[in-house]
Amino acid sequence: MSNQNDFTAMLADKKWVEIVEYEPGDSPEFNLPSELLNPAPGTFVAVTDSRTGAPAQSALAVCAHLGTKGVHPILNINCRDYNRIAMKSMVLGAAALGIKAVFFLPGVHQTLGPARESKNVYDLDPIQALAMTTAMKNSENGNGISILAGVQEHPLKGAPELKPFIMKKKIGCGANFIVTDPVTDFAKLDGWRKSVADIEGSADLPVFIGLSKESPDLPESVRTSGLYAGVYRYVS
Amino acid sequence: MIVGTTKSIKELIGITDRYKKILAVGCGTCITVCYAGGEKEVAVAMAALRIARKLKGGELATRESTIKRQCEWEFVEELDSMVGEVDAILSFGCAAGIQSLADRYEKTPVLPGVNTQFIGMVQKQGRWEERCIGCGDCITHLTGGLCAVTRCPKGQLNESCGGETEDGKCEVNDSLECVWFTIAKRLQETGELEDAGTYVESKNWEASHSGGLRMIEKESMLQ
Repeated sequence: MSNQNDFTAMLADKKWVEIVEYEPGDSPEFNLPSELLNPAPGTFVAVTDSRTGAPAQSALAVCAHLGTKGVHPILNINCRDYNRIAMKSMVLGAAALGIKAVFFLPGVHQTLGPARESKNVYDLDPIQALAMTTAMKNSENGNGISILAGVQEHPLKGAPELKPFIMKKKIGCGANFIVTDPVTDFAKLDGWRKSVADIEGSADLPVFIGLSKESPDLPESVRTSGLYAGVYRYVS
Repeated sequence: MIVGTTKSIKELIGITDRYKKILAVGCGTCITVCYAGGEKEVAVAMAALRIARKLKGGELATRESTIKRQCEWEFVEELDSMVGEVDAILSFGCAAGIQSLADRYEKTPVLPGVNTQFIGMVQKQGRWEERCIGCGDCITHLTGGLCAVTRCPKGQLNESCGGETEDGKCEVNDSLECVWFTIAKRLQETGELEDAGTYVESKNWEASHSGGLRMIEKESMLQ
């Protein structure tokens, strides 16, 4: 039986997982709601990283705080604000803190947030950040980190013909999990999942269904289809 | 070509405020064809500056000259005889032109009349679009001949960011198509869709401005 507080074990045992996003505020206090400090078994907290482009409390600091409460969070890292030096440093710091998983996202473009005059970075894209983390895990130089790394997937957007090739890249770069964009059409989601089913490694790759407030209720047939590892509840 | 925009008259008034005799220099190449700093734009801007100065009760003497290219010494030399007569030069060239004038005329202040914007092209009448950030390491053979470094605001080299609209418009500017949408169409048309499965490695930004001021030397041509 899996330790239901261990994200790695839950994925390895193919148990249904709930991931709930938490968005830190812009104050110096930790104000996490009690349900996130005491998550239900099989529920994990993903901490957003200045999600809207507005400066927020550091996701790494919030993850460290959660760690002191016995909660094992997922650290979100956007590609907007850091170059590969800062990202590597953050992944090493996360591993040192015992964080089990990092989730790379492009990040909302800064011109869509309140700090629109700031300069972005975009040194690496999320797949490249994933590859960087995989290389750190596999390196012989003593990085020696053990951390899961995931990226997003956009099943409802973009050219469907590209999707299998993109999935192949993500698997090739060492994705341990995939989180979809917020899903509003489960039939389309299934269409995407089937379109990438033949890619080597795809069947074993945990895919989390992204849900937002606009998402319809998750149909039981999708939940029990065996195609998905769980859900990821976006803040919005 | 290099694309620029003329600075606003308000800004030009502020920049030129302390000078009484100004040589306004247009540039006859890129900046002329994007209507930012050719002969006409220089004439209009300088007329506006003279009127503004007069309304403030002052006088502004101006001389105008548009040379073929401000970024080449052989054309810049044409200005030599005029520079001694003025307090300042107002360059309507791109930033390369502005700086070549500053390099050549050490004792004369050189002011910018243009905001240099990007390397791009006329996409249609009246509209210029950026096509290159000069990264120094072109990888467009991996993305259907289109530059995702430049045309994706997030520089996504392996897929779209997911922020695009369902009909393929860019999250940051919905008057533009998401470049990954365009890349997909193009790869399909050229029968090279499988290229989208090639992982594009992290870029070597050392070849870009991140590596410091760049220069190119061709040994065979150096004297």
